[in-house]
Amino acid sequence: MISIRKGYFSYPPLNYSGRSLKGKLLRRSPAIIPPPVFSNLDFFADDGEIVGLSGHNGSGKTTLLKLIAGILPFERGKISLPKNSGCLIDINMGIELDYTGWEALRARAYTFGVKSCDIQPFVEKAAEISQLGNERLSHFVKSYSTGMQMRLGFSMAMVVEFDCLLLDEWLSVGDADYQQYASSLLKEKIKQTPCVIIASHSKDLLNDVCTRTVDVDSLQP
Amino acid sequence: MTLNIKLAQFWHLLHQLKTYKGAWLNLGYFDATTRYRSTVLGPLWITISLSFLIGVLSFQWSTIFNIALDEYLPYFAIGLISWTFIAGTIIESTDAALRFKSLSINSCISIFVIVARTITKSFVIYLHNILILIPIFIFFDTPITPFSIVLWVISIILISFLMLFLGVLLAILAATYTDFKSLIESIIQASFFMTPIIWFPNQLGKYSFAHEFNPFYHLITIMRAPFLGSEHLMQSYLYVISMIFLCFCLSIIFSKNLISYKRYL
Repeated sequence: MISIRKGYFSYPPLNYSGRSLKGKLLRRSPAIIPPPVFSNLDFFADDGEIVGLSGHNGSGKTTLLKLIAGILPFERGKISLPKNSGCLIDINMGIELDYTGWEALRARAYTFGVKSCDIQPFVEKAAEISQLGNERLSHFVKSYSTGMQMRLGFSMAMVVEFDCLLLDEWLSVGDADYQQYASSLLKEKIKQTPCVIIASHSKDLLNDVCTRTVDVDSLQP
Repeated sequence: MTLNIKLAQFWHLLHQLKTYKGAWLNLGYFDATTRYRSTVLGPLWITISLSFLIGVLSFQWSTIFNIALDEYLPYFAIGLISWTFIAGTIIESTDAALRFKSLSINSCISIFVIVARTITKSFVIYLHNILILIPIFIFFDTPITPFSIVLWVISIILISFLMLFLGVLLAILAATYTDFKSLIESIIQASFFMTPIIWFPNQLGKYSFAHEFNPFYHLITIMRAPFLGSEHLMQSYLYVISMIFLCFCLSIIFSKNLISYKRYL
């Protein structure tokens, strides 16, 4: 269950003067502090819900997903978040181009917190889902096309279990045949996960998949 | 922010070292080996270039300082190999949050795990480099006892703890201020010549007390003394333990920044 009451979050000044050590020490050029992304955020999601987040560019959909996952910290507010969230914002997170496909799968599993002693079944299951085959998985990731690289990250995400799944846009992976297969897997994964939040610009998709849709702008009364 | 909340937050982040043990151990090992995988000798290429450097410079500097080679070569070799490990870990830790930016901003993995990954990488390279010492110890009859091995292991553990707590502080500072990484690189570069690696501490004469204020001197001493002996070993151990405690306390005080640094990436 997710409960956020009066949540406050802001980004620091991300221009040059805001990040310069010299500027900070000499205080010559005061940094322009941007307005907070969320100053009074109220958001709730119960177990069993699939919540869709909509909103224009820069409204804070991805930031909200990161805040729910605990990647970014709320500065103020009464916050209760799920402990084991899977945040699928960057599908290729943790995968280096110098890895082989097998190593990339292992690396991806490690970044999801899978223990070394449990890793083999996860890797084998993910390899099966990726449909890349033993020979291709023995090659370096840098020889893969973008679609094939995405299959690696996607397949491991489908194997690991989360209490809460956070998706930034609907994952569209691989060629037409694989997309259909991936889409059915993702729908199955969403059904199995207690709580799911999906951020997307596609209202049709959100209406089709989610139990309710929220406009991020409306979350701050 | 009360101390209790800070301690709870700090413990939560530190505890990830257990949860993500596979990540920092295995990915750190991957980092050390994947770069050289297509080569015949792998990371031993670093060892070969370092052994060439040690061989050439030992002859050169022992002649300049008029010191016997059998005294100078083991001293310089252990010092340079230890320096490569310490300096490499500090520079890599400083860059850790930026180097693994995708991991930092897209997952809950704590900065402790990311810094531990860089320490593992440096340690794997260090293990390759200490192979250089085997022929040197055999050729120059350097005594190796079980006690010296135990002292060496204690030194490695202490340095790893220091690098962990110091590393997270450096990593969050480098992520927050863009010019911090260059500052650290300059300090490390200057410290190499200020620390007795090429030269002996007593060569400074009446100014040799200045070493007491150089943290790198104590770090190199605890790595060198198990094999070559030093009357200052216990003093250096106490100094290093104090540094670990200081960095540990600072990382508790700045525990909020150990997560909020991600806002800058």
